[in-house]
Amino acid sequence: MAEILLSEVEKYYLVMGQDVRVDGRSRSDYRQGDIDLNAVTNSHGSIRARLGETDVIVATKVDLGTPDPDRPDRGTIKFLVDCSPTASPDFEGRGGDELAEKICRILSIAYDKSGTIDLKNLCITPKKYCYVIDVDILVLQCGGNLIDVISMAVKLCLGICELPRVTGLRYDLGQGVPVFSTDEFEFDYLDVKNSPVVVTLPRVGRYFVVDASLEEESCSKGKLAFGVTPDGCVTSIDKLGRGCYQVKSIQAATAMASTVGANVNNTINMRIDSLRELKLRADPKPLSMPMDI
Amino acid sequence: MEEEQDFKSVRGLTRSEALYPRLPLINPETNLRQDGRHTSNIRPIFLQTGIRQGAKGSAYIELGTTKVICIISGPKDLPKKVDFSTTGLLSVEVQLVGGKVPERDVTLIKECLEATILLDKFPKLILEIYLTIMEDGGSAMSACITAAGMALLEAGIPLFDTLVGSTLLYDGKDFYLDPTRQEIEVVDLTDQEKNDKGGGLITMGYLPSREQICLFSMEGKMGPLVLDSAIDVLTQTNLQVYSVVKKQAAHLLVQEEDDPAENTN
Repeated sequence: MAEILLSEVEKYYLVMGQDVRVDGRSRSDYRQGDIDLNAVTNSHGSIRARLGETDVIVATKVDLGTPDPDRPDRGTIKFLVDCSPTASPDFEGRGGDELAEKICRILSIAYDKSGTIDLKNLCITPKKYCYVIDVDILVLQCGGNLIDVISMAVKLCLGICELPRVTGLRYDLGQGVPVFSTDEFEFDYLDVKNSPVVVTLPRVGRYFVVDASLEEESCSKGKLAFGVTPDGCVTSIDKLGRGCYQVKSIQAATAMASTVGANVNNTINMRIDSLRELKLRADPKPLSMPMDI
Repeated sequence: MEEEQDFKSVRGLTRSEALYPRLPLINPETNLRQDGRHTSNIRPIFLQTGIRQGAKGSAYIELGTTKVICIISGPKDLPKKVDFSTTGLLSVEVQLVGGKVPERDVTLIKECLEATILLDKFPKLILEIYLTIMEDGGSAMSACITAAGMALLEAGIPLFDTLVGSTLLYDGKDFYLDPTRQEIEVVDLTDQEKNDKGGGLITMGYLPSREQICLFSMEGKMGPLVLDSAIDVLTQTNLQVYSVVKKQAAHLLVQEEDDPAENTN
């Protein structure tokens, strides 16, 4: 991350692990944030999410594609992360690519391998046509806890993503080609109720903290990234950075991530519902709401 | 019409269901796994060091059909294009014969080794670790780190502890230790209908005498309580693997005593 200057006293306070952190939060509190709806107009649904100083834009684009031959009855979701050099000086050159790759990896494991999102709904005709959802993520500002903010924004964005409805098949030379509705208000939503959000827990001193700021991240040796569903199940665990953990501390972190993650995920589900309602109103103003976790 | 569609694609490249049938995890006749093991048994481990003359350290591990070779060379001077570093650097290359290892696995193995090796002991130097997975019969990542740990021991690189790894598969009911590739394929983590009860694949790297976890990767869907007990089971398994590694390491010491000439080299 960017170069952070901390005095010895500040470092000491961070590492000592008080339950009152530098900005007054407790160890399991999130910062304030807000959500903008449709920040990118020419997409099938987009979100700009801010949490503390971290700022990301996520946009979805729905395409027609062919399913993977190994999984002929399922559609696909592809993630692409762009860490622009304006977000943090560390993203200049190769630094941004490595982090982007890492985030892509975590997201695709959380969404692809857990079975929490039913990819069969994205299939139109098995073996031939399916929806391919491209999720593009642009990091505008990196102010700590980037992975969590991205995963929340991705979930929100997939929740409001409009899949054009297929009205029928047109037979061309014996092959059925899907025909999409021309009415822009005829669309389906993807069911993302059970999909996970990522909770990253950096170990600062002797404790794991939720939603770490840049200062706290600079004082931690390693992080654990958990994918958590609304019912508190864990869908993925990644160990980021070097550093070892005791068996007990991994178990404690799992319990913490499970409760915190379930809470965040339920809030995100509520936000998705209210964003869908907001969209129905014909209001040209940009729509935004507080995140309030 | 179906035929017409299919002749364009290369059929030979798809895996045939007839050749590789997806058998259930537990054989209903014997109540054991398809290869005759209990759910809590690991495959017999074959471990050998010194498989390549001239290399600083080398090890070969076999877990059933999973075969991994690890070769270590260095520590050597940093190449000119690499920036100066006050701690030692690692370069880890993982190859899979006839395939490609996911970038994620390589990063995990590298970060795990960085946590195990005392890197401050060789500043300005780089240690090269080459892992070759000759055959992936399941649990290849844990075989890789056990092999790397053994080769590091033979090379005499300063370590925090010996490194062992093991894998666990959860199908919603039971834990299957050290799963084969067929077993991993049977538990389809992506299927939502089948996945109600959960399921998952966990790989853990462990430093036994320090009781530290240096590699942890999990995918699938598991409740926090199940995950807790899975971690405990994996810890026990790692101790079983450790007993094999320990025996081989003792063997290494005996060899050195027998051959003092080699020792002075």
